[in-house]
Formats: sequence, structure tokens, C-alpha cells
Amino acid sequence: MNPVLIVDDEKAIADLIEITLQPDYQCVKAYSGEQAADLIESRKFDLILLDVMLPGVDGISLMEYIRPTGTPVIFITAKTAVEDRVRGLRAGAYDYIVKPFAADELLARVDGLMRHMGLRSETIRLWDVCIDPRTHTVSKGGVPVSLTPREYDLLMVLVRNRGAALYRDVLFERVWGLDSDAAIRTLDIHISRLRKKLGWSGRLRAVPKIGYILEESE
Amino acid sequence: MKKSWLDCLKNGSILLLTLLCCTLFLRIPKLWGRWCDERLLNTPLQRPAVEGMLSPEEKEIPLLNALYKKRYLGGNSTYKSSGEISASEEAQLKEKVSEMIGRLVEAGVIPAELAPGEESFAGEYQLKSDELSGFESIHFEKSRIVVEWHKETGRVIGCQVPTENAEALKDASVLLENYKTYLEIENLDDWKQSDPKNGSVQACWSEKGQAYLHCSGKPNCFEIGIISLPPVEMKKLDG
Amino acid sequence: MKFAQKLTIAILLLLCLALSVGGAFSIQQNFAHALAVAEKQDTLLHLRECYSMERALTKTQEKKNTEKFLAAQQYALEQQAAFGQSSPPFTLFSATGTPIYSNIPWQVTYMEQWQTAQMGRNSGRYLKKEDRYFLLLGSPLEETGENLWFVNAFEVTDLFSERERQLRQYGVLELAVLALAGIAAALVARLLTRPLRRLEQASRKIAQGTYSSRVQISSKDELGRLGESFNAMAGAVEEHMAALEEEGQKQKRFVAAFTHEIKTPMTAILGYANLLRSAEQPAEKRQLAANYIYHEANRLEHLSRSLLALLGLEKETVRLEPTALSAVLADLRRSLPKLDIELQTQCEGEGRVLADRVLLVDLLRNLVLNAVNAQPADGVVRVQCKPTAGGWLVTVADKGRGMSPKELEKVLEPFYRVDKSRARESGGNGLGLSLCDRIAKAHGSALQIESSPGKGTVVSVLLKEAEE
Repeated sequence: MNPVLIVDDEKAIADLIEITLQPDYQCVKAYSGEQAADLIESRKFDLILLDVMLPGVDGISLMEYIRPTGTPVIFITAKTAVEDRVRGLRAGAYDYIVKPFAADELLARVDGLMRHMGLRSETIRLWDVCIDPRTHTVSKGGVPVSLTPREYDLLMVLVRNRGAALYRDVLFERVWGLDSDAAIRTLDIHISRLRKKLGWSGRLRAVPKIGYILEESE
Repeated sequence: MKKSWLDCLKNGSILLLTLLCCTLFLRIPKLWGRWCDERLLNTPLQRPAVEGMLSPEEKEIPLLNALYKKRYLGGNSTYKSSGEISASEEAQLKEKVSEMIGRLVEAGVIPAELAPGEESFAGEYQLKSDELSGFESIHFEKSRIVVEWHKETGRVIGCQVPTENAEALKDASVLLENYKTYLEIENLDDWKQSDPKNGSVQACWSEKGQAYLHCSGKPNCFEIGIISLPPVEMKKLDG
Repeated sequence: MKFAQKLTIAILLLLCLALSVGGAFSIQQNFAHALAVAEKQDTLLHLRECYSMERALTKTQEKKNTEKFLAAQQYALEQQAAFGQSSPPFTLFSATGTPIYSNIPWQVTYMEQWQTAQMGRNSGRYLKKEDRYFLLLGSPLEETGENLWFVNAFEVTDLFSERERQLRQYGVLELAVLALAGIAAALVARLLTRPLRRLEQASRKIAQGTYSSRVQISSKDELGRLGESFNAMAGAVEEHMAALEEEGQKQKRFVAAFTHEIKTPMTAILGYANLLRSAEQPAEKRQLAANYIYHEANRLEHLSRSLLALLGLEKETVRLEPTALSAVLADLRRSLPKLDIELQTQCEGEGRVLADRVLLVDLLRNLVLNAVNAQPADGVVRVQCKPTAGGWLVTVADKGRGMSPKELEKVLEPFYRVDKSRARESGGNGLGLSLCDRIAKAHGSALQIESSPGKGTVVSVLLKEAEE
């Protein structure tokens, strides 16, 4: 498992991306094209997240440098023009993400790419639970567990943010969406159901005044 | 598509209209002719005025009438030479001529000095008769005397007498006056003196009588006469 | 329908009408004249015939009609013998209208002849019988004792046939003329309207976007002038289109750069805020997030302020008032933060210029800060005021990095930064110089920048002298 290279001259953005991808992915940051080129030469990366508008050597030119290594690239840019997107994809980028982006979206894209490239295992293992994102199936100790779509979504959010105490209302928003008519109590119900189905009573806990937390697996 | 069809139709109709107009226009001369003909055939014609007609009262005067008619009727003359009439007729003729000359001299129309003698009437002559107009004239070859007269009234309307003496012309106006008396046309009062280009002619013209009196001493020849002359000819003479 | 064709048709129609009317008139005049001549001749002839008949009749002096008939017949024969065909046929009528003798063609009825005679010696009549035309003249005879009437019928068919012939001939002529004229008119119309076609073509090309199309009309008349003004107009349009496109491109660049300048801070702010609200974060992360949110928000604030200033300067008219340069320089010093370099200000004389004090200070402040960022080798930034022919020349000079000619071209454009990363660090958003340029323009001047890489930069602006 090689780290992910983040190339962006805005420190705030680079840090944000790093925070978003942790803890699943290890990140290395470069703040210029030249810096990035040096790093690419010296180390191998599983993925490169590249800002197109770099001072000096711009992102597209850097592609010439990256292509021989065969490392997949996702472009980050503020330009929404179709020509720019097409140009980027033609240059060899795997995907294109537009600023401002939601952290969830970035993570999902990276996950998807990694799994697709076979750079990460297809499934997620937590203790005795195995989750297959491709088929949206969950099994505990080899036995398939039936989850409703909502339960699955909630599970994935918890898994992605494991180790952090998630605020209740934001968690609800993330799974049910902003415009949901459902009461927030349904979140509690879903949590208890998950606990039961997966036997995570101890690991999936309520945090007073905050919300819920799924503990880190070792 | 529809628009171009409409345009085509419009263009076609304009062309057709043009063609129609042209054919119509081309017929204008003929149509105008027809219309004028209609008018012509249906309105009475105003006959063009004939100039120089003799007034009815003057027509009463036989001589003037005959002179006037002579304008239209002249030209059918027959000619007889000296050998073609019988001796008796010839003698009668010559006597008549001599008598007429005598009367002229008497009337003071021909000056006495110029009066031709008997010998003048001898020799070859030519007689010209115009039955239709009623005038005769005779031309003596030897003396070159010519006399023309009106058969009905017996008045001489023209007389030519060769002479060396031109002095006679001094009294031309008197001669003309006498001639008027002789011809019995004194009642014509509108005689206008005429000054023809040829200075040796004395003449006058009457509109009422349409008559032209002239008296001249052509080189070696005395002449006096009257002819019917329309105004237009008169103007030509005067120049 | 094409104009050329309309022209041709109009000409043809007019020509046809004119020829027809002219021809009709002319031919009819000829005919009328011929008729008049015939009438005059025939009147005289009739008169002569009357007199001749009178003569012929007076010879007989007989009262009996049969005698008269014989006399008339005799007369007719004599006339025939003498004149042949040209002797006019006649009819002799008695006082009651009974025809005594006649050799007038039978188509003309006695009634018609008698009526004509009755009209008097100043009248006459034209008659048409089948295809023949006759002029009838009738007069009373005199000197014949009783009232006899004499009528002549003169045949005038010739005149009419002549007219027909003329009409036919003219018709053919007219057709030929129209055909030739039609061709000629068509050619000339095409020739004359050629400039119009050219104009149409050129206009169409321009409408389709080929602004370089021009028209060539060499005649010296109105069409030639039209062509010239068309070309002038096309030239103006071409220029305008180019200018508009240029403007459009500028706008696009502005919007693209602006969007980028906004989106990047927004991404950071949103990202970090989302982080904070989603889950409980450890203290360092919280501080990091909060810091980033604050700084990026500040950036946005600065950007929006500069942008508003830029836009504001476009809309409002700036009021210029007499301002002392010394006061401006003093304000400048006060407004600047603590700098690593030495600021030298110098003014040759007591300068008073027409300016907006606050804006002018802003301008100079911006220029000085830029100069500082250029890191002058000798650590000095010089601000000088010099009187010149056009007014007061104020310059800000440094011996810093300088700019290449290519960079100089773009340097006044909004959001353009020569060195992005370093400028961003110092809080620059690229609007500084374009703001200065706007301020200079509002003072009736413009920024003049001289620079060479490695040697330094001099920025100058000319201000109008304030009249006393």
C-alpha cells in the first residue's frame, strides 16, 4: 500500500484533503509542480490528486511526467467548462472533481477508484464483519446479514468516520438527506438495529451531548 | 416551398399582364382608326370651300359666267386650220373677226394706230373652238394677230396685235376703262389696280367678278384681254 | 421579381404605349390629310362635273326625262371615252328625287344619294359598302330650267387600303422595335443593377459573419458613393465586432479568474466547517480548521472589497479637487504598515494637482506595496513628484525583480499575478494594479509602467496641475 500524493499550491486545500482521506489513506503533500515531480521520481504512489491550476508547471504538463508511472490521477479544479474537463480526461486523468467539493464525495471517488484498481481490498473488514461495497452486502462471521438500504448507508458513514464522535443531527443529515420528513428519532432506532444485527453493542456507542461513535478496529 | 410557388405565380401573372398590355397597346392604332372611321361615316362632311367662286348676281352676267365656267370647262378644244372649212364659212368668219376688231377700235379699246387692216386677216390661220365653254379663237399666221371671243355675247375677251409702236401704252388705263364699257361690266365697282412684276403690263382685278383685265405692250405686240382668275392665282401674279 | 426585370418590363410597356399612340396618331394624321386632299380635289372635280352636266343638258332644252336621260347617258359615254376609269360616276335626279340616269355602283342606294344631295352644296358624305368607301357629293344644277340634282360618288377605297397597309407595316415595325428594345433594356438593366447585386452579396456575407467582405463599384455616380459608404460601414462593423470580441474575451477571462478566486477559499471554508460540525475533533484539528476558516474568509473579504472598489470606480464619477502633493505623500506614509525597506519620498516644489485625495493615496499605497513585494536589491522604494509640460509626474520606482515584456502586457488585467504563489502569501489577489489603473483613468490619466527583468520597475502617472 503506497501513499496518496496530494498536489495543490493552496495549503488549506491540501490539508483539507489529507484530513478527509485519513485514516484510510496515507497522504503526502506537494505544494508545487516541481515538488511533485521530485516526489514522483523518488517514491511510488497509489493515487495522485492533482490541482490543475498550479503556478509554474501546470497540472496538464505534469501529466506527461506521471503517465509513464501508470499512477491514476484525479484532477481537482475550479474550472467547470466542458472543454477543460475533456482536456483533462484526454490528458490521461482518471476522473475530475470540481471545487468546491464535498468531503464525502471526494472520499467516495477515491475509494471507488482504489477498489477498481485493485489497490485496496474489495471488501472492508471490521472485526468479524465483512462489507462488500460493490454488492452492498454485509456478512458477519461468514453469515450474510440483511440490512435495509438506510441501515447500509448509516453503516458506511459510521465505518468511514470510525474513531470520531459524530454529531447526531449531522449524522442524520448525511444519511437521510437535508429534506427528509422523518424524525431524528429514526436515527436512534437504526443505530440500535445495527448494533443488534452486527453484535456491535460495545463498539457502536452513544456519546453524551454529541451523538454516536464507532470505535477503531485494531 | 410555398413561398417560392407564390412568387412564381406572381411573376408569371406579371409577365402575363405585361403581354396582355402589349397586345392591347399594339391594337391601339387600328382601334383608333376604326373609331375615327365611325365618326367619318356618320357625320356629314363639311365640303372644303372653293375659292374664287362667282357670286350669284354676277353669274347673271353671261360673259362673266362663261369666263368663270371656262376655268373648269376649258380644255376640250377642237382645231381647224385654214384649209378645213368651206370658203363661205371662212369669209363669214373673217368678216366677223374684222367686225369685232372694228368695234374694239370704235370703243377705244384698241388704239386707232394699231388697228389691223384687211390684209391682216389674209393667209393661213388656225381656228380653235371650245364648244363646252363657248369660246372661239383665231390665230393668223402672217400677221400674227390673235383674237379670242365669247360666242354667245360676241365679245372679244383677248386680242393680240403685233406692233412696233409701243407708245400706245401711255393711255393704258383709258383703254382698260373703255374695255370695261365695251364688255358691259361697268357695274363691277371693286376693281383693284394690280402691279404685276412685269412693268409693262397694266392690269386690274375684280373680286366680285373674279375677272382680271390686262393691257400690255409686250415687245412688239399689243395685247388686251380679260380672264377669270381666282384670288390665289392673283396673288401669284402680284408676287 | 428582380429589379432589373421590373425595369425592363416598365421600359417595354412605356415604349409599347408610346409607339402605339404615336403610330396611331401619325398614321391617322396621314390618313386625314390624304382624305382632305381627296376632298378638295373631288370638290373641284364635282364642280366641274356639275358645270359640264349643265352644259350638256342646256343643249337639249327638252323637258322630258327621257331626253334628259339620253343626254346624260351621252355625257357619261363621252366622259368614259375621254377619261376612262377616272371619270367619276354620277346620278342625275329630278326635282322629286327620281333618278333619271345613274352609273354609280349599285351598292350605294338611291336613298343614300338623294339624302346626300339634299344636304346641300356645302355638305358631303362618306359611305362604306362592303369593302369599298365612297365620298358622295351632291349639288343642285343651275341653268337647266327645273331643279335637277347631280350627285357624284368618288371611290376613296385606296386611301383606306393604304392606311391598312401602313398600320400593318407599323405593327410589324413596332414588334421588331419592342423585341430589340426588350433585349437592350434587359442588358442595360442587368448592367446597371450589377452594383446592387454586388452590394447584396457583400451584405449577405457580412450578415453571415465574414466582416472582411467589401464591395467594388467603380462608377462615379450615386451607386459608386453608395459602394464607398457601404465599405466604410463594413469597416466600422468589422472594427466593432473585433472590439466586442476582445471585450467578450476579457470578460470571459475576468469571470474565469474571479470564479477561481472565489471557489478556492469557499472550498476550504466549507470543508473545514463541515469537518467541525460532523464529528468531534481533537483540539489541534479544531484549531487548524478554525484558523483556515478565518484566513480564507478574510481573503474573500479582501477580494470582495477590491472588487467593489473596482466596480464602484466604473460607475461613479470621481470629483477632482485641488490637492497638495505634500499632503498626499504624508498620508501615504501614514497608511503604510511597517516595511522592511526604506521609503524615499521627494517632491520638486509645492505641487498642487487635481485629484481625489483618498483615491490617490490608495493608488500610491498599492504601487508602493507592489514595489516592496518585488524585493528591491538596494532595499529602497522611491516616490517622486516632478513638474512637466502636461502636469505633475508622480513615479514609484524600485530595483526589484522587474517584469518581462510579455508579463507587462497582461499586468494591468484584473486578477493577473506575475508570481501566483508568492502573491497569495502576501494576500494579493491580483486586483491591485487594475484598481490603480482605474484610479489613474478616473484622474484623466493612465499608468505607465517601465520594467525590465532583474533591473527594476518604474510606475508613473501624470496628474493635472490645479489652476489657482
